[in-house]
Amino acid sequence: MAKILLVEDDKILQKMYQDKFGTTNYELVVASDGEEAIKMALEEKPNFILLDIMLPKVSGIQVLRTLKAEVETRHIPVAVFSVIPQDDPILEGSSEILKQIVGYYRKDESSPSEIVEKIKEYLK
Amino acid sequence: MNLSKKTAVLSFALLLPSFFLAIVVVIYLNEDSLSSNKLILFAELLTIAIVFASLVSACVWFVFKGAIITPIKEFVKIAKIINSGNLGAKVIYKSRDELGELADSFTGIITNLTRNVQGMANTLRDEKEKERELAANVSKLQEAQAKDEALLGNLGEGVVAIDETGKIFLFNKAASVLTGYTESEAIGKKYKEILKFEFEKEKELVPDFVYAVLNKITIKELLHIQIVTKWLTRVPVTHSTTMMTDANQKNFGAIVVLRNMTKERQLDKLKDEFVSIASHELRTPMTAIKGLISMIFEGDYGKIDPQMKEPLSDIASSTQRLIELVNDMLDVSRLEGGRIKYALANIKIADVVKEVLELMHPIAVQKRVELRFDQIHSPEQVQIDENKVKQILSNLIGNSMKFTDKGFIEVRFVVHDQQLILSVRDTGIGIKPEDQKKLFSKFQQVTSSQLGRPVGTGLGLYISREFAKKMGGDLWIANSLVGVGSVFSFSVPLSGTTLAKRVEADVMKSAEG
Repeated sequence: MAKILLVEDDKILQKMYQDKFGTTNYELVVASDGEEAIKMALEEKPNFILLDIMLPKVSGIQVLRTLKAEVETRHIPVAVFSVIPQDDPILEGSSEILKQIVGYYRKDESSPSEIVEKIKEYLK
Repeated sequence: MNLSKKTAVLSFALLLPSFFLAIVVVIYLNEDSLSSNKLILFAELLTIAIVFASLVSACVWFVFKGAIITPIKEFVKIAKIINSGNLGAKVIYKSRDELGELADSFTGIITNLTRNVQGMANTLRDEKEKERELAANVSKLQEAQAKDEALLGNLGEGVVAIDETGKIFLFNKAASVLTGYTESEAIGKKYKEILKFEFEKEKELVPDFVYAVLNKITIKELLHIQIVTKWLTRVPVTHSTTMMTDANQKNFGAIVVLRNMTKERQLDKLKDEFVSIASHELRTPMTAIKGLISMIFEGDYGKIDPQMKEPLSDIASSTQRLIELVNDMLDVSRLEGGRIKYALANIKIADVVKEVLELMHPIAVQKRVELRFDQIHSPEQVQIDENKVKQILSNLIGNSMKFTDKGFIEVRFVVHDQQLILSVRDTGIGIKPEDQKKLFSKFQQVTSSQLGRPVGTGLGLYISREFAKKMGGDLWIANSLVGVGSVFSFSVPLSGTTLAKRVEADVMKSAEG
């Protein structure tokens, strides 16, 4: 069973995605901030990471940089999972590191089922 | 010797021979002992002669004194008075002789002199008056100039005036602060040596807008530029450059007004951050509502009561509207700040249309409106930002869907010159000619008052048109008839054309950094 790490600080969204992934064959583990995300990526060794950008403590972009710099985590596919559009000025200067993601998923544009479908498609 | 003394001498000279003759006669009488009769006669004659001579002398004296000396003395007195500056003095002498004429001439001279002197005095007064006026004007001018200088000097904007040969002849304090050059360093120099501009992001030199103004060449507005200072630091500025013309409309140079935009840029950055955070905060709960409703509909939380379907669907569509509103407002905010990026690529247009139509299909089925697209296998490639074109197409088809209750919505395209024109045609309610212009303004919805019509944000067409323009095309109403339907069209560059290359270069510039 593939393990998905969801990095999401909003409690309601956490619960919603847990409910959704509960109906699938995936195991969902959740980190609530950037620091926890790095820790859990190292400990849980997930098969896929859904990473939010605006996070408490350490930003999603910083988490991505760390994950891609670590030998143990650099191979894990990461998809950005955010409500922030890809061309948002907040992402200015991050274009290089963003080349290393496998997808940019807008959670406000895709329903939970569509997100599951996208991951399924990737991990196929 | 004065004239009266001369007259006395003359009278005396006349008397003197008479006396001398008398003495000679007396001596002669004593020596020759003439006869007494002869002597007496002679003495009498002599006495008469002496008396006569004396009388003549006296007469001569009186005549001279009355006819010559008195008037001459009068002349002298008058001349002295005139000499003392009083030109009102007059010679009163009524005789018709030469002295009378002299007196008349003298009076004439005085009159003329008086007139001339008065004339001169008047001229002198006029001159003085003029001089005073001139002095007053000069001081007014100096005051005005001082005010102008103070105004220019204390103006927050940098002001640089350039003559028609390109030399700087005015350089105010703010211009010095902005550029780092002092007034004396800048005056007389060619403007290119002092004013150097580049684009904020790509650090490329900006087109020479001063040259353009001096030579009456129109160039497009230059946004986000910065000035390179004497110390090679950069200050973001806006410029306003205008031609200076004299009363005869002759061009005598250009005036450049520069405004330091450092604070505005900082504020823009803060605003961007604020908008990003605010939109993130707004989108997160909307994502939860939207996601949870979709999961309820999909039965993730159990079977739903058929009665619940309608209110749930209303919640879903309201949430969708909120999400669109947030997205549109964010787009407008960034469009106006010139901060939207365009990821141009060569894309097969038919694939993009097909994808959008697939997304729209469920709504079309629901509304029983037919979606038509005949060019599913067309090979045309266009140079576009795929997501932006999808947004434009969704907006146009979405609008058609809102206002079409029966019939069809058709997407077609034609190649025109270097562009591909996409049209969305519907059999909807149509738009009145007077309303058509309003459509592209922000927050304009000409049909929102009609009952039963779903409302949008009123920003869609404005955003779509701006997107189309930035990608090298445009968006317009091709046709619309009330009761018949509307056709909205937009254009994009065909891949590999000169237009596409130019747009790519422009977009590349503003995308860097």
